[in-house]
Amino acid sequence: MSGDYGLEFFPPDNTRENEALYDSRKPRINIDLTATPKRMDIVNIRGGTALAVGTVGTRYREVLLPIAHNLGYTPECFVYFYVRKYNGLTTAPQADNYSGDILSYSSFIVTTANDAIFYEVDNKELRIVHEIVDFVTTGVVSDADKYELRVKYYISSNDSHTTGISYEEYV
Amino acid sequence: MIDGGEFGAIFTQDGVSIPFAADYQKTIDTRWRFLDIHLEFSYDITYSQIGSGWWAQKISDHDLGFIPGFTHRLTFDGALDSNGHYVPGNVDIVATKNGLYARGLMSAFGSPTPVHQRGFIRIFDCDILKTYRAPTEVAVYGADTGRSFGIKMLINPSVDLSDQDSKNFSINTEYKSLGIHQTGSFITNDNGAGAGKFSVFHGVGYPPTFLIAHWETPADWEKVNHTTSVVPDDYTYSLGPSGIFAGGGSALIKANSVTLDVTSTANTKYGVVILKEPAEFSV
Repeated sequence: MSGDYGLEFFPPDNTRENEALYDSRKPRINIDLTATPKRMDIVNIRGGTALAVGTVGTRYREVLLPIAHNLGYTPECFVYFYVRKYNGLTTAPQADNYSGDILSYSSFIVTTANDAIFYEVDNKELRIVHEIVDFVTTGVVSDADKYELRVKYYISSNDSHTTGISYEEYV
Repeated sequence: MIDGGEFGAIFTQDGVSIPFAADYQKTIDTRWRFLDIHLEFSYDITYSQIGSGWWAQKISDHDLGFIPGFTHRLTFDGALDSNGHYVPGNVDIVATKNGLYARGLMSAFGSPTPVHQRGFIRIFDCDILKTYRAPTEVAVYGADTGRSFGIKMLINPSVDLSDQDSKNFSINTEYKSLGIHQTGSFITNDNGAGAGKFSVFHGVGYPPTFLIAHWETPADWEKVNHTTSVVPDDYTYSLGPSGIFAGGGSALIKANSVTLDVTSTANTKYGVVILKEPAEFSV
């Protein structure tokens, strides 16, 4: 024993080192189940509001859901967006799809705008953000308000070793 | 003994008794595999090249002997030169069965500005291309115990059991580790219009969360880029939940209680990790 303590479980008749079914000493992606607010949850949200592009090249954004973690570092996170309904319909092409990290609204409709929901996280909180930007014309209006989403998020206790993570660059 | 002659241990989430626990309500089931971290490190690479062309640089060995899943976070991406010639971000990180490589393209119009990139990589002890499926237990609905049991085992003797840092524990059932339900490699078929699809039967009983990575052979890459691959073996790009893939391409992903369906470009290869955690049920 090298000073660390843990439990190992092996298959029957096999206790060869490095072949354990389970070795508690191995570090893993861990989520704290006792933290408040929850570090792992499923929430139902509206996809945003009908933001209008007033100035070409300007990003219009709204934070839909901030979730504090206060870990003091930027944690590794996984976020899944599931489209429950679009315009009230579960049968619309937009509905019944998953997208991780970022969900592009504009990929479903012909528009000059980039319109998406994504997550960003820093050393204090995870944020679910809606953003629209248009590099061609003004007057484009987001249809984010037509989306009904289910968001599953994991805020792990593992340090991402970054100052922040954001998928804004893909919008 | 757990059941049917198997040996091991199961711990469930607070208030859920073992006979009534679904897989997603367990914090430990020693019959499962987890996203065990084999190696994690920060890297800092520079690369200079006279002239244009593809380059690759090995940034780490991992000694696993198979192509592992890994995550990659970029922390610094070299700046554009004064002429704006060098395009930062044009560096892929890929894993082979022996190590991790950075791969990039030096433009014919580029300046002598070296590529400079820093990031953080976490390699999992998980062969994401190998066919694997853990045992499945679907919840039998019944009364919760309303009582709390658990186990904590310190790995750091300088702290006590009330410590909140998960790194200080060998076991702490107040934390949930992400359990692996299934892994495997899949290739989209060809529907004749350039798109394709594959379906993964998981049978876990609910729409699960998942991680997915694009994988390629040198021949795949050479077919697109019309030059010899600078990475010597089959490889995967980084693993994540996104339908927008490192290395290019995107996919439409659907999941239900029986299958995970991925629609993307025809004849494209993916490694898939299906987790025990659901995307649809509250925890």
